[in-house]
Amino acid sequence: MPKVLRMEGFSTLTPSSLPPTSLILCSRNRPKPLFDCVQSILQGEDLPTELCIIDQSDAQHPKLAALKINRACEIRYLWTRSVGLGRARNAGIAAARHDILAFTDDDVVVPSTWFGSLTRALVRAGSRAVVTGRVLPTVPEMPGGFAPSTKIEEAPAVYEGRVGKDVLWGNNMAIYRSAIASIGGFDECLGAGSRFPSSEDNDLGFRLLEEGYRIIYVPEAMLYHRAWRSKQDHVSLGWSYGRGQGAYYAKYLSMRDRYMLRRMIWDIMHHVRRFPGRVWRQPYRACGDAVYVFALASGGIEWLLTQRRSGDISPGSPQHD
Amino acid sequence: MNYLAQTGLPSTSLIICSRNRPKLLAETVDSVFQGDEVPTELVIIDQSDVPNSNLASLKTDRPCEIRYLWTHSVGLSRARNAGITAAQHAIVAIIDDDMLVTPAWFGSLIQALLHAGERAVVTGRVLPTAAEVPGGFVPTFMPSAVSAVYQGRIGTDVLAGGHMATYRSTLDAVGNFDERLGAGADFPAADDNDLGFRMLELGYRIVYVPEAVLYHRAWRGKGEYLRIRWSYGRGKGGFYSKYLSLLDPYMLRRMSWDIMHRIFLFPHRLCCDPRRACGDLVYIAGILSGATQWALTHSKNR
Repeated sequence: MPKVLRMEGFSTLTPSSLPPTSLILCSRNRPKPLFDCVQSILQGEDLPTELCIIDQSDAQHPKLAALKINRACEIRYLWTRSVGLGRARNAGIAAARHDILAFTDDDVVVPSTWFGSLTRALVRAGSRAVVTGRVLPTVPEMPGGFAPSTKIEEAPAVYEGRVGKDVLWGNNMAIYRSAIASIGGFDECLGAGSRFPSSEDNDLGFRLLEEGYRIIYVPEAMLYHRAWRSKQDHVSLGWSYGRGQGAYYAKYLSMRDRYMLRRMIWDIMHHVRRFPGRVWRQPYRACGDAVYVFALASGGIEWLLTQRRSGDISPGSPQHD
Repeated sequence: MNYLAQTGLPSTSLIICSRNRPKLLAETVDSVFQGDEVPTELVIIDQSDVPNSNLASLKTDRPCEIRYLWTHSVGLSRARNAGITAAQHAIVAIIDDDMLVTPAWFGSLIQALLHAGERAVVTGRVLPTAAEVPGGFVPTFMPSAVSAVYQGRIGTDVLAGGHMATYRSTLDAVGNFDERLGAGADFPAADDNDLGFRMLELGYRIVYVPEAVLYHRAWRGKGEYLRIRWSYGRGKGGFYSKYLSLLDPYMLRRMSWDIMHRIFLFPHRLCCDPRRACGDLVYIAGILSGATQWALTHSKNR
């Protein structure tokens, strides 16, 4: 039974000192947005106890590697040759020293109150919850520019059980280490850079809900996702999102429990239905929808054929054929 | 010269790449050493999770230097390129880790290359072994007993990356394996198709030598079949998409034929060989998936 509960009172949390926290920020080959993001974090009213930067770029970021500040935040720059957002976030979890973990991405800009709002909400919610916040797009950084994966609702909410959609935003979330450890971290087969290049956060959120954790949406914990992608990127992004989402659906497909099958069918129909309305007015978005549906099938098939036997969160093991 | 006098062959490097198949690899190496002729050096590129201590310390009384190189890298093309880089001799041969060679194989392959000259690559016969598990199968083999020389646009792929020999100068001119293609990559097949196509486009010949015989082992169970067909389709789609051009519809025609002939054969195969019919459907879906992904993510960077 889906439960989507309105949450009252989170906007009136009183400021207090924060417990020790680790903020994990993953990046790959986007040095300037990464630096801008770090700057915005360090200008916040509240800072994490440590900022773990996991950089999977081809070359190290010398400015960040040497960065020092005179506020109470230890900056730990960790460069790695590994590939994949799921792998990077798990590396961040392993490196983090504190029990409260927050996550964001390298192409966001955070307002000064963001980190305090997110962390206080988690402290109030307790260790059986994960907190996620609002993700607004910035103004386009180029003509037709856009930011994917935004969440603009103003009303707080608490999600429990099977809510029929994905409600956890990996670029704006906080969780206790004990909670993420209990479900095994991110699935490294999913996420940008991997063979199934998205939905690692959807997968994590689903597993948390299935294990009885709550996902709490706190609109006060607001950050901005930069609109740096061009309108042509709708098509390639539709492919990436579709491949990951298809794999995520396929991971949980079961004839005995048709929840994920129903979700997949709804997702496909939703994109098919909105295609005609977009095809003249927003042709790139329409192409992105069509590509998303095709990619969803592609990712689902590939997962069923290549990953299903493992059924765990371990990285894929490419074989020589 | 002494080596040539002893064996009748010039100095050669044989490259075998492997990942997490230590037993198969050891048996392949063993079959190489039982050959009438052996390479001057055997370069083993091992991408396994842990090094193979037995192979790392292996010695032979045959005139062959064994060089075992363990690497963290992933992908068959990357491994083969590492082997080519590591190889010390002007003639390079490549086989896979799940093959058994016949005693005359190495000499036949290299003699054919010497005969064909520097503007050629040679490939040989690949036969399946008997099934090693119930329903065991071999995904690719080449049983033809008729020798052939291929030049230009032949409309098909005839170079087997798991059974070939060429001059290093040829690889220097054509370029190595495309690391975006091949097992372990996003497009997990067709790395050899891509290399063969580039060679033909540059005027090199592919010489098929049926006397050079090796066996591809049927160690895969029937449960692997659809996964392999998907992987082959994805790689093939990526390969087709790499060369798709409206100005030159050659590769578009090849892709269309590859898909359409399987669709035409589908009803017949469904009755006679349902597993193969299903494999064809999965292969077609893989082609479309791979071609689309390449076009969306790699087309700017050929």
